[in-house]
Amino acid sequence: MKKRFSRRHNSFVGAYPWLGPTALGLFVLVVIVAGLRFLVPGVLVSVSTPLWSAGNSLTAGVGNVGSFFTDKAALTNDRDRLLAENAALQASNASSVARVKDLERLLGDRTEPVAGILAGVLARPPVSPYDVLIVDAGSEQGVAAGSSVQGPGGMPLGMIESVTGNSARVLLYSTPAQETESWIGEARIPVTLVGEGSGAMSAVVAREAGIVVGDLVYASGPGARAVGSVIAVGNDPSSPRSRVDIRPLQNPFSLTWVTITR
Amino acid sequence: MKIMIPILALISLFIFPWQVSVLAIVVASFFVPPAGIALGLIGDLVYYTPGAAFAPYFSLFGIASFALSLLVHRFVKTRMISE
Repeated sequence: MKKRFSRRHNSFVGAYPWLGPTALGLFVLVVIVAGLRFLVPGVLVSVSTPLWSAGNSLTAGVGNVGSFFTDKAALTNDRDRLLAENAALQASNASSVARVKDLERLLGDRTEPVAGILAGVLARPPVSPYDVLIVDAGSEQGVAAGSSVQGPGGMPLGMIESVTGNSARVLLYSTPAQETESWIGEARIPVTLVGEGSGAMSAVVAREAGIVVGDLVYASGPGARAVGSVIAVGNDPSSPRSRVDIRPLQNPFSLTWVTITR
Repeated sequence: MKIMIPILALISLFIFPWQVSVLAIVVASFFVPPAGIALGLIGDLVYYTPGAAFAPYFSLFGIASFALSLLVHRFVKTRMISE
């Protein structure tokens, strides 16, 4: 007896006739978008900018819509704003105190301010998934790869990773596995900060260093500028080293403006 | 109507936290399987920065959700035929 069977029903491709055209479509999409990213990277950011702006407006709108109905929400907004302002002032104050101490030790040091480029933040965590900022200043405004990025109060945030004509990508110090040389505590003990994502950082220090909760962490370089504070110190008696957890002084989730210096 | 879901997922890449975008990609790929790959690639082309992560996670996740949605579609078809 002749047995009839259809090869089509056993074939993966036969079961999905749209797979071929879809694969071709995806390939074309990848080529187009990759071309935009690597050949004319500024175009991708230009296309995305209106959407990011809409998202920022929407976020602000959602944050403010409740205050129309209740005083409690308005107070909460005020409190959040003041907390952010307080964090910026704390960062500024800590940096100023450290700078004064350094200048007292090194009489005759330069004190003139460093000129910077003001840039608006287009995308930030948590919308940006890799702990990077995308800012609206690029090579046309004088931004170069490797430039330093500061937040409110001159607090160091990270470095410029790549630049297009009118935008730049900022790698935050808290980017996962990102290593940054810094100092910790009043004794300015050199440590390597390791990014943990979402603004958090960590470091490993000798147990005898005497690091305690509340100690400030400073970016190494000219002047000691505070980047975060210690929130937990590991206490394993069997280890000669302690893990230190560090919280940034400025929440990267609420950054709107940054300053870029070479 | 089905095409609106990937479009909304695309918009969410620029507006909502990345966790919401990941969820939107999963949902979109269940309705239109190739959307998982496309949205993952677009997410990484916009946000991926060398040095920021070991791998382009959005793309990998898009491919995984595409494969998962194909399996689910196949399973659902098998169930519908056998019933």
